[in-house]
Amino acid sequence: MNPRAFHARCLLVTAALCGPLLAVLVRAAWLQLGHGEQMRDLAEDQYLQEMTLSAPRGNITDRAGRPLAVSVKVPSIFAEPRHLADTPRAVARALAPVLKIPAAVLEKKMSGGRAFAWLARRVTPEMAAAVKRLKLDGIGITEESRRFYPNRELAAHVLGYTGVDGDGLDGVEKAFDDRLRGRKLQVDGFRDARGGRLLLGDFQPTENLQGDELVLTLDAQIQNITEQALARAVTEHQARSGFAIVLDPDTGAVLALANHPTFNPNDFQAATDEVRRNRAVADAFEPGSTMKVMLLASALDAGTVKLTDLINCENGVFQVGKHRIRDTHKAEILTVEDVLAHSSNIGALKIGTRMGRAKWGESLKAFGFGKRTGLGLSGETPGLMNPYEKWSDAALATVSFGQGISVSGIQLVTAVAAVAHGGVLMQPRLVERVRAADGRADELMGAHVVGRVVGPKAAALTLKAMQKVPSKDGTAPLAAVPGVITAGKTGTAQKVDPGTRSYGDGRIASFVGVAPAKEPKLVIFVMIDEPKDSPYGGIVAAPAFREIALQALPLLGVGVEAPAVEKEPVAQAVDPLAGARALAQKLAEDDPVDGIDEGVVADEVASVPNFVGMGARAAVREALKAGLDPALDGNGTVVAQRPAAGKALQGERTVRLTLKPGRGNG
Amino acid sequence: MIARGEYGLLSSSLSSSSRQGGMDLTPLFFALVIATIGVVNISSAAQVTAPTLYLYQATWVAFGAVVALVIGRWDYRNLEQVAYPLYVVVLVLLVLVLWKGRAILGAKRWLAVGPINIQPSEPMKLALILTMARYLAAWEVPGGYTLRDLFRPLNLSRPLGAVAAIVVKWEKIGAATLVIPGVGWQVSGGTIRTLLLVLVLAWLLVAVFKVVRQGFPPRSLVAPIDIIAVPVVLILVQPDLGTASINLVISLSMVLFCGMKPVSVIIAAVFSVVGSVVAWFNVLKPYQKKRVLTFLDPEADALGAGYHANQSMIAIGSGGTDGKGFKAGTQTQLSFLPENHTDFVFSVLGEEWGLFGGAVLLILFFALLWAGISIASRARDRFGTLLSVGVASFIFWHVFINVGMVTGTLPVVGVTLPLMSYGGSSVIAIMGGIGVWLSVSNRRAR
Repeated sequence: MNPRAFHARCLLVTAALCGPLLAVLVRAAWLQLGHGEQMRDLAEDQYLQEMTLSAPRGNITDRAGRPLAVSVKVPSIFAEPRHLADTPRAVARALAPVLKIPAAVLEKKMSGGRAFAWLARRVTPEMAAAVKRLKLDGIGITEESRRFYPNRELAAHVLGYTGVDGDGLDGVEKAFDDRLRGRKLQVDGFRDARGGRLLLGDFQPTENLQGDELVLTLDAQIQNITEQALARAVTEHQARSGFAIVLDPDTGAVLALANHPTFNPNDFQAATDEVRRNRAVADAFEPGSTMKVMLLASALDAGTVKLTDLINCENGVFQVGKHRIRDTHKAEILTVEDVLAHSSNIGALKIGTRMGRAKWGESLKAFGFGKRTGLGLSGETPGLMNPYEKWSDAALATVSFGQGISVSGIQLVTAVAAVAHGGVLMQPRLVERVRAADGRADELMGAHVVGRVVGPKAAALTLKAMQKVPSKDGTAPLAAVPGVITAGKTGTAQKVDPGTRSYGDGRIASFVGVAPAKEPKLVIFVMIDEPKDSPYGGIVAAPAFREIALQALPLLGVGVEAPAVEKEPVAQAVDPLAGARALAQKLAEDDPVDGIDEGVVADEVASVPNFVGMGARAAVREALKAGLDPALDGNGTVVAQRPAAGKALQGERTVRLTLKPGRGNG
Repeated sequence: MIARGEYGLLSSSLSSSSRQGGMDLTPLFFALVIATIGVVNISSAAQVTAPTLYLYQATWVAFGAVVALVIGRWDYRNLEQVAYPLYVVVLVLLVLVLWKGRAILGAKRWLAVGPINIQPSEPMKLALILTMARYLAAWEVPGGYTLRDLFRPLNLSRPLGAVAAIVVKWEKIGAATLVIPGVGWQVSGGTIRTLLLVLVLAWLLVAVFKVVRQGFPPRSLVAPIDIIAVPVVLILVQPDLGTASINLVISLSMVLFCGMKPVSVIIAAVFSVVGSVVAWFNVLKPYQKKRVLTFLDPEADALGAGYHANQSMIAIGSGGTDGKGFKAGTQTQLSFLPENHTDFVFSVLGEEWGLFGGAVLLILFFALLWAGISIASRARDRFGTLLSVGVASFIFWHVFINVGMVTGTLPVVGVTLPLMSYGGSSVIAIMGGIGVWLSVSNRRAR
């Protein structure tokens, strides 16, 4: 080949190289210029991701700003099974000892072709660090917000608890879930091909998104005092349970609300539903003699009686219809004031009867019985108050001393607080203010007046009469607080057995008190369910009232005597009152003190009814109605019964019925 | 003959290229510019996965430059002696791979030699360049080669090879059915076996007769095209379509450079098309077919076989005219772009530097190739020319196939982008090629 032709060839080759190179460049340009927009959209579809940012839940504090429930960031471990470098089995084996979860469980979570799976949520920082050290592809750690209750059991029933996704499941956590819940915001973020998420640069939305903060009316100190006093009362008297509510009568603010036994909301699953239930709000019970406070206030207001009026208390036994009402403290004649102090059922029913269905019933309604108080917690019971128009004479009588009507703890304390508040009913409330996280003004949940129930004079006189109860002359000398005049009322009620729907052996011992009696600061209700050693409110519940008042009053600027009690509340408090205690015990032993409403059981229980001649079905129905346990033998019509009809019931609850077929039709 | 010591390394410079003799450093300059862009690009591409990778690449580039200069000072004619032995050694390795190779993802491409794994199909590229350069340098046909020249149908090696292949694949052929597309004919394995055997034996008889009559001339024993075909087929059956194609096109480019008769080129083109169709239905493995189909319509299987091509096109396309900025490519940095520091470096460049960046790189590659071909045109001998053309062909086809595949112009086959993709052996190989250019330029006579 001649040199010239050779050079030409080289030039040709060089030119030929241009072609393909230009072709790919044109292709690139075609992608970048011609389809740039489309490709950018495709790219954004991949890396831009709408993310849901969920901000932490708002904190809950007591009225002084002490934290009761806070949100903390804790690590959670997740897997993206598609990005695992190893088999799910191998990864699960590596993680199992760190997470303390069986490898098989982890493996299952990572199998099945899912793109994302939580492995362990809200783990300890140590666990997260250990997982990080394993450096496993496809295993990620993210921060989640976790609810934490720094005071453990404190105010557990008021606060409630939150589920794994941070939703309020009970208490104010549930009631105010909408406000507490962190706002969710959709934002554009980056995601990478492995599914990791990156937030866009300088975007810091979480501040504004945080849930609102709740400032409760609770006072953590008073709550603590209340819980300890209640726990002591429940354990000392081997009771099933108990609750205590402390109310500010002027504002309706709940300063403390305690249930015992209680639970730790950080680990709420460890407790049964029974323990978690806020019995002070959710359970209705027949209150017994504490109801006489409302009776007296209503009667004084209606002008039915004056404190000095004399009431014939029938020496302790009185027949109303078929019912025989007994007083434990037999008295011939009592003043109205002493009817309260001695808790005479006969006296109470006479006052109630004299007042009449309409006035007494309307007044009870005005006090808020039979409907929810508006406290705001879910699961609040309205209690059970039959329409007064339908009350029988017996019902009118029994309601007067607190049987035949069911109330909730919060209803009762609210009603008594109305008496302490000059007759004006305040709506009980748990939340003082809602502090918005995004700079909006705080929302004050101020005191709310429901309305006047009784006149100020009637209220004051009632309070005066109640002062006699925590004294030597009254039913609750153990409730006396040294240096402060208090007022109160004991209650000892029979419990309705839910099985038989008649009164059983269970007793409810309660005490509702006002401290100080002049210019009241606290209304305290203590209810002890089925105490074992003594059923009397004056013995079981009154000391708890005393303890709470003694320690809480100084916190509210009310001086009490014996300032040392704060350190050793029980020992200091009980010893000076040993005499009173002994007296109370004596009273209780030789003659039951208060409101054992003996004989007042549901219909037809005073004596065994006659079943002879009844059909089987009718006999069973009647027996159950009478609170008896029927045992049937044979079928057809009842021909014989044991015990015999008309015989007084004495402990025996089973009635044996012998039936034969074909004799009449009942 | 010019004394060697006369042209020291330090006296060489770009400006010295006008002087007769002396090393022409132009290709090294462009290579280093490209390699620098490559290092910077890798620092972005591997930022997330391997943040220090670019330092290793920089080290390889520096080492490669030294290798290029050392080779440049050698006499490239020494390579003429190395060519055939190297070819034979690599060919043996290729056979060994099929026999004893490590299978990774269904392909036997790697050979474990002590602690290291080697892929003989890569050095085969260099061995082919040397061998073709030596062979074609010694064999000049005025007016260009004809197909007959290249194929030498009646050489002795081919029927012997065919007999060997039939014996090795005896069972398989028996089990196969040949489908002739379009007409719907099917030929059974037994028939194929018999037909093949008869044809090949007849062919062998004719070949033996011819060789004996001509008195055993060496040319009658081996055909030039077999030098290319044997390694390409060995690589093809690994299977590794990409590397086989690269080996083929590099060698054929050298043959074409020497010149072919136009009629032969046309006939070859026609036969290639027919051969491709037959291969499609009878030779290609399902995954290879899938790749080709995916290339024709990447979106059809965007998450499977088309994932790479699709992501690459999205990355390049979304870069637009001037790119998203250094280290700011979303597809690269968020790991949507696969293999972003090896096979798909160009996509990173396209995404972050846009059309501008891609154009600059391709212009630089063109300049590099131009410098290489200019050296080829001024080489002292035909061997030097062909050697330089071989190196240029090597670089060109890598660039074209790589950029072609990442822009969705060609099917995705595992071909790296010279001096841009991460990899020590790749950098050293290219720099070695540049060194050959330097050596040729250092000893030019024209």
